Amino acid sequence: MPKNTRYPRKSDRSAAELEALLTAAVDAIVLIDQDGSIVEFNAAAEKLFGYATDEVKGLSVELLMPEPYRSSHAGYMQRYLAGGEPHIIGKGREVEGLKSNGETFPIWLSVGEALYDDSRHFVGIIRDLTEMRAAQQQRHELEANLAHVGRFSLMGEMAAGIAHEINQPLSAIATYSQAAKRMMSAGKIEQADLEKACNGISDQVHRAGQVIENLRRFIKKQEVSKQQVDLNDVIRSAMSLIIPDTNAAGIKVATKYAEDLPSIVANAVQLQQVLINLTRNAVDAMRESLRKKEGIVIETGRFDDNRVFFSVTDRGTGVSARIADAIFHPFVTTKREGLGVGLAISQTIIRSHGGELGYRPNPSGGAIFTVSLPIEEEQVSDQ
Amino acid sequence: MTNSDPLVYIVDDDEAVRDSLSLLMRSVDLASQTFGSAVEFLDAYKPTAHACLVADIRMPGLSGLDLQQELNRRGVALPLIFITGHGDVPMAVKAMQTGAMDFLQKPFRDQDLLDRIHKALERDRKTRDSRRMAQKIRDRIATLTPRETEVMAKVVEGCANKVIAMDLGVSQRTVELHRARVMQKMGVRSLAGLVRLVAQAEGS
Repeated sequence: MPKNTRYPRKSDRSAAELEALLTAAVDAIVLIDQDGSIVEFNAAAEKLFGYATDEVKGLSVELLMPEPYRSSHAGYMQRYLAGGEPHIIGKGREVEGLKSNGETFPIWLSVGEALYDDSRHFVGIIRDLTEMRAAQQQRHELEANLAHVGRFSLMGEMAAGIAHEINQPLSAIATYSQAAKRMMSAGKIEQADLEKACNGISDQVHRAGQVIENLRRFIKKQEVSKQQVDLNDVIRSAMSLIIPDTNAAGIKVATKYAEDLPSIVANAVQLQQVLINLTRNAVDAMRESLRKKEGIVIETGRFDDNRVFFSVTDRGTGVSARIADAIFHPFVTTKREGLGVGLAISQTIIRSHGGELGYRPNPSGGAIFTVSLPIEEEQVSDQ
Repeated sequence: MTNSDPLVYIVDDDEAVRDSLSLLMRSVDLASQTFGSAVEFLDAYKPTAHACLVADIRMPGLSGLDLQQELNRRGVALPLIFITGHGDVPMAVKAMQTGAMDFLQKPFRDQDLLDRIHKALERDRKTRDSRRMAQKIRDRIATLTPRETEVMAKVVEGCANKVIAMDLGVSQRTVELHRARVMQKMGVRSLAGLVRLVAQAEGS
């Protein structure tokens, strides 16, 4: 038996090893030359993209890319080959792939460069992120559902304050109309009084409508999406739901808004939910307190270079050291009514924003709850 | 018997409620004054007015209950009607226990409020009349000599002239003279009338 048949030449062996390696790889591997034409396309790639190797060999790799990646690909390659900065070589990033059936799907693409046969080649290793994304999406939806349920239970706790807030305009409407009616039956209504009654009624109808609209917006099931928001605006618009509650308890609320806060990427309603939750707790803690008149302070500001914050400071009974470590756990509560899920849900919401909700005792008595939120959340998730 | 038109004080932190209530008062020719807070009212309140007070029980700062306590502390007997929002019944019960005259839940029927206001004003009028009467009686008592005062006290207790004479160490005839002057100065003709007057003066 000739030696070379028993022991394949080195290059043959390498080719076989490479073949085995490509076939065994779990991740899709696509090798292209410097023109962007596909040179190798492994079994996992066939399965992932739905093409046979023979179909795609020699074709442009752009075949596997949906827009807008497809249009920008040639430009990237040219700039890199001309000595430009690598956008993707040597590191990975999340992009989208395009299957033979036209479906797009999220992938993690890492690209390395290889030099052989006197020309430059690029190898792309592609991991399918579909399942991971689905799991993430599911988690976000669960969090959103949890937050939604939390808002309902908050509304339940705030019902008395809200009912009062609707009762006020209703009461005024009834009184305006009854006054006008009395004047009319007595035949002595003056134009000015009639106008006063009508204006009063329409203003108060609008006011009651606003209360309901605010509620409806708060209760509504939210998209999980986050948007650029101004933290001060988020807090300002939550005050319309907070004031009735604090008024009902006879507790004052002061707000201190920091100027020039950078915007953050967040779900405004969920942040309002956390704020309302913290304020409700403060109200409950102060109900029995003798320092009621000192009130609650809601504050915004810079936490550090990368974070902004909002905080709720009360002068209530504070959190006893015994449960201080456990207050963010579900079903830990000191209230007779309530499930003890408010802080746990709030913490979940804040963490899904990449932030942190923390407690510390107020040095002058009471509690301080602080929510810190990253300024550049979008870029964190994008890398 | 009042020397001024009745006045309805309205204390509510809600401008629309205040405004609509004052229009309602105008519709029945009642004068009203409105205040946005208990403190504003306390600053402006003149005890001489024949009036009643309609106040919201929940207000930021000084609440309706706080206001009531302050009025009690100052010895002001102004009839007080609370108007309350939803779910304030326990508060209202507390208010009634500490002397509020009535309470109404918002939104209320105008007639219900007006009935209560008229009742409150009537009570205020009676309180004022009986205070004025008591003052008049006290003024008359002030004109009695010390001895006459002693005699009157014993007469009112039901002592016979003979007993009074013995107690005071004077003649029965002297007691009769004192007694006649007491009746004259107090402006009554019978023992029963005298007893009623003294009771009225002590009662207020």
